[in-house]
Amino acid sequence: MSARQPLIEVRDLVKHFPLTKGIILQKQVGAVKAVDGISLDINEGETIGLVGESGCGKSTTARLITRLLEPTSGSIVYRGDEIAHKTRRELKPLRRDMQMIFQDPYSSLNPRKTVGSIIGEPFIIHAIEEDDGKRKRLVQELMEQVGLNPEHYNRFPHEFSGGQRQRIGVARAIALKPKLVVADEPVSALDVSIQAQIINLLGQLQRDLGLTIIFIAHDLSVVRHVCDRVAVMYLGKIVEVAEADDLFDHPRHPYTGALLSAVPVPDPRLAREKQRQVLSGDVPSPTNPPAACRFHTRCPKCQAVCTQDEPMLEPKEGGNVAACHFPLTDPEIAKRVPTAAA
Amino acid sequence: MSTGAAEMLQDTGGTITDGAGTSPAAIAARSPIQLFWRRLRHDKVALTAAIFIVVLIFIAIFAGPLISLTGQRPPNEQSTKYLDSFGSASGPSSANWFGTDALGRSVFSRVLVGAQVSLKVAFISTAVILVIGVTLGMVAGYYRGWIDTLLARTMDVILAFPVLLLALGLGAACSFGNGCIQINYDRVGQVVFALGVVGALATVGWRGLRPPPEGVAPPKRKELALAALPWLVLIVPGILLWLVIKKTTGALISPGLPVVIFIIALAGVPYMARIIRGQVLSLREKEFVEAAMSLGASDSRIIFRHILPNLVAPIIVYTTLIIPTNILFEAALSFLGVGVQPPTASWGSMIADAIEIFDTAWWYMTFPGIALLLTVLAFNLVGDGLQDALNPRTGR
Repeated sequence: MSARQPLIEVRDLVKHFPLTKGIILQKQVGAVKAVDGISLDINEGETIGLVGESGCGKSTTARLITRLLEPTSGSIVYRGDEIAHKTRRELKPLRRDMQMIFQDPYSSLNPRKTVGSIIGEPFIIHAIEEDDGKRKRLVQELMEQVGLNPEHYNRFPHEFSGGQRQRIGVARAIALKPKLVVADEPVSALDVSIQAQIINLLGQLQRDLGLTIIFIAHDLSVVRHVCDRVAVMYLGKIVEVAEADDLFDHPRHPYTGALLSAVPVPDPRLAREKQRQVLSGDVPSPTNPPAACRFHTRCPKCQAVCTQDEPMLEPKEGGNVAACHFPLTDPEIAKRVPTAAA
Repeated sequence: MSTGAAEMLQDTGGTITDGAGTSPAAIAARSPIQLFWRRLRHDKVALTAAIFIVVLIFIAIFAGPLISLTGQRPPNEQSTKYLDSFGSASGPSSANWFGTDALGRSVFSRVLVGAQVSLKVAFISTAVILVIGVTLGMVAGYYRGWIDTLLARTMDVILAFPVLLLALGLGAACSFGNGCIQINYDRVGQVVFALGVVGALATVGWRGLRPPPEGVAPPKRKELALAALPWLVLIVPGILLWLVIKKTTGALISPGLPVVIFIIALAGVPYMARIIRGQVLSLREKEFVEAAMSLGASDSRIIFRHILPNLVAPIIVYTTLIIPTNILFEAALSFLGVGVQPPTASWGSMIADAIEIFDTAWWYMTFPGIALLLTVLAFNLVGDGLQDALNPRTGR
């Protein structure tokens, strides 16, 4: 892991969305702390998973890294180049290297444009191929590459199924041969059999094009299959980062443990032994997150120190990096995630 | 469900084709426009109404020739010869198909000419509302922030005016003499011309001379010319006003049709702007706009290539629905005496004149009334038909 050069280094990334009051004279009355101090290295060629429940800041993180949003503070270094506060104009060359795949294949394609012009648009924006005939050939190659029929060049998005639409989105994202693709829940709007096809497509493209992928998802089994490394987020912070196998075998953060214990166990004997740990209460509001450890309001292992001292991300037993004063021990893991122990 | 996905992953291995590759090419694809025509063709009511409107436009354009062709008298020709023995309006006859008014003018000819006025006002004011309303709505909805606040509040203020009262006031103030807001056309022309030249130079200078960031090619000549184009367009009306049209001073709102059009546009723009703003606000949150941004598309590209095409349907529908409203508005203003000035015939002013003699001369009110009714009805039916054809899900 350390042998590879990080493609992107994220340090103390913060994004607060201001809450304002008043119609003309607006004053700030608070902020939604969507992302509140994230540090993460993304290595070239890896697939890194970003997991967490809704509203924990996964999508905001993705949009910060691709600079669709400007961070409140912190730094994002892409290949030695600080991009956190670049202007739109300065970002344009970078757009070729970073692309996104969106969650909803129905709203991510303009219903009034043909598939050909949707996939061909990157070539026009970056003035790469202005000749219509040559561009058409490029687009049709891309369509073939993602498993679409190139003859459907002139069709409109509504003539395709959800899975095919997501392929169109993938083709648009890889058109400029980017280094990094951020996939924001690319399969959660698709049904299960189509999910598998899209994930395999991404895997194949990654091998062919040497892509680095940030894979955002809440489906843990998909993440385990796809990702090399996984970062778990809770309320705008990363609580645990580990190699995928380490994370699923021995989660150290109680929140990761709770997430994994929610995954159904296929073996009924093991399932009976399992003590499913259901978190009580809702996620606290990101406007006013709990002090110190953010998870302490719902944590089964919470102690006095957790409400006073914020735990830092530190290496724990087994190679995981977790932010917890009292990481899970092996017997505790066995109870929560029997498949891991077996 | 979640485990299901993972297990399926194991089986499918590396294949990446699904139904897309095998779907039969025989199924012909229909573009949205083809679908729209298909649905519209089956709407007999809307088609009939559309044919009526086409005929009406034809009548309005060729009103003069039609009147002489039918042997009727010109609309403004007064004659005591055609009044009855008591000196009042005479009813329909072979000489005057729709009868005459109190001055002996042919009601038939005046109804035909009235179509001219109605359609002219309706189309011009609708075009003004369309252009200004869509522009303001898109700017407010896309850029949001203070510019949206400013525009939206201004629109609210205009909407807060009692429209008819405002219209009567403006009409009364501007319908006499030279009209209101006197301006020096020469000076305006010079200012517009200067603005165009300075703007074009500034655009080219700013984009061409600023060093581009690393990795971006310097803008090509074609791009620079395109960027300067909106400014260059300004030069044309500037020169026209300054050097070609030799009229030096005049009223911005001169009496007659311009007053009516100004009032209707003023009252109509806020509604159009509001509708467009709302649509743009929801469209710009769609992921395809975000996708365009992540590709590095410029604002103008996003606005014109991504947002505007999605506004076409609401714009068409709303436009066809405000045309009849504007026709009625013009008729109402003329009825109240602040619209089209006599002796020009307008359906509204004819109905107003007819009130005094309605008990003896039924024809004078009936024929312009029927014309107005049919015209407004036809435009509304076409509007409804377009709405259904563009958006089959609304259902009536």
